[in-house]
Amino acid sequence: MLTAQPEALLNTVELFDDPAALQQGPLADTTTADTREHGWLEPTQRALGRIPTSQVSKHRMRNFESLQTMRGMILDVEDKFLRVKLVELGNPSATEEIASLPIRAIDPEDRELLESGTVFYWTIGLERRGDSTASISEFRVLRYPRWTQVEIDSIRREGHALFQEIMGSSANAPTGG
Amino acid sequence: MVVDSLLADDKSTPIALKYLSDIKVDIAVQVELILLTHWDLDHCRGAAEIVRQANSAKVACSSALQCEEFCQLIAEARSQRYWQSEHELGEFASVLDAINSRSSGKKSVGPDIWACHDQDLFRRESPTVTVRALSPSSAAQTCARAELAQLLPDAEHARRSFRRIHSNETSVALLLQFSHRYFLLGADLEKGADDAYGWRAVVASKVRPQVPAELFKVPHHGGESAHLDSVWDKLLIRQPYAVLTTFSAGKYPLPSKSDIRRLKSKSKRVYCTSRPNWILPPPRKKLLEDIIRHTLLNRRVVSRVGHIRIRGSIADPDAPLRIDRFGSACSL
Repeated sequence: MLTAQPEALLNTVELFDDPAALQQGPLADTTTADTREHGWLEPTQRALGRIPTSQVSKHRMRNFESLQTMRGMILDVEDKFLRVKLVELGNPSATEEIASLPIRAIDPEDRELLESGTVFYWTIGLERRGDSTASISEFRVLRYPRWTQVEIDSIRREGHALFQEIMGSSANAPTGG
Repeated sequence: MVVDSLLADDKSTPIALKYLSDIKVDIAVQVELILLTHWDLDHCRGAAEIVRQANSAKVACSSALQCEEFCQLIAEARSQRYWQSEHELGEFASVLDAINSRSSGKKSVGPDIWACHDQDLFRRESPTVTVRALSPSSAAQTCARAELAQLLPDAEHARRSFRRIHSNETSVALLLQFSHRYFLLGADLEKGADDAYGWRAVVASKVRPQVPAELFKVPHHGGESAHLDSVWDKLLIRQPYAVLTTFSAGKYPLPSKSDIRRLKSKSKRVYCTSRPNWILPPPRKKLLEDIIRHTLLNRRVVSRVGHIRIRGSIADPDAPLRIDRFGSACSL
């Protein structure tokens, strides 16, 4: 019997886009106390592997087999649905799909993150429970780190400098002979 | 000249470069102008590669981007890697890098031309060839700056989220002149709220060339938001050829059935880069397919695009155009 149980497995501290790690399923615990506290990881830390959640038990992690992981991006947020773009990870020839995903499939704690451009991962797999096997459908929403004020100030300065450079170099005359 | 960019099915080669290579164009020498009509990803993806390869071409962008706010967004895109590769700002940052890294000619940091309404972007005599920008209007440029400012991060909105720019009124619509033949390329320009914006501003212009075009690249995938009867009445001959691209990533595919009916009623013939149908994804293994169907609604694949080639005699403006279709392109 099929079961789609996204809400039972969701995690709110995910930030990883390493397809190889995703294909492995929820396995290694590489989360540090610091990353748990801040809710995000720097890119260099992401390659380490899956970040397990408190909801995903060690037993479940050991017995999970991923069948497919898709990377999704939210195109639009509607009343009850998300319009999303999905791409299979690990299959470069796969075509992009556009679909409607019910918002209820996403963990309530993650729903504040749902906006155009938000990235999520959808893993479908099998979990062995004793003699039986259950199908699992799991959504993980990617959290972006916040800009610090120092970084915001730096962006402003760099943008200003770029604008000055551009304005100093543009001729804006028609081309042609 | 290359107007806008989209990747081929291999997801890495810009379609324009593939076509120009196939017909033996020396891209580094013969491409003289690259124009990015606006910032949507379906119009700019792969543009940086075109700028790199067509390294003697002038680069033109919508003048709506000629502001400090846009440069700050570029700086933001360069400062992080979370969504840069799939966001138009990331592509524009790469375009600027490509311009900056050109080794020949005058060193330039930004586009050579900021395109705005009633401006010639390219001119050549014998035979006369001109590329004239009809938009964006001055009001659209001002609005764009305000919209861009809203996207900048600040202390209250410090999430590195992926924000989209929605306005299409900053698009550069073009009137192409080849001796006595005229083509109108509509980009994604929308109709506009009043005579200061969009197609309404183009129609209201007192200085645009008063010459009807025989072919219309229909704006914004044939959608209603970009349709204005007065464009067909005043900027085009009666029953022109219409060509358009489909858009399957929206809430509904464009053009819709009513769009197609409207376009067919106004055109001699309508050509599309692919059939504007919803195509179901190929089935996966049963278990996967069952879970996906159980979870998702309205699934469809993003359709592959073909291309349409239009050729006509410059010497004989009364000679009919020859229109060829390649790949998934079709006549509606």
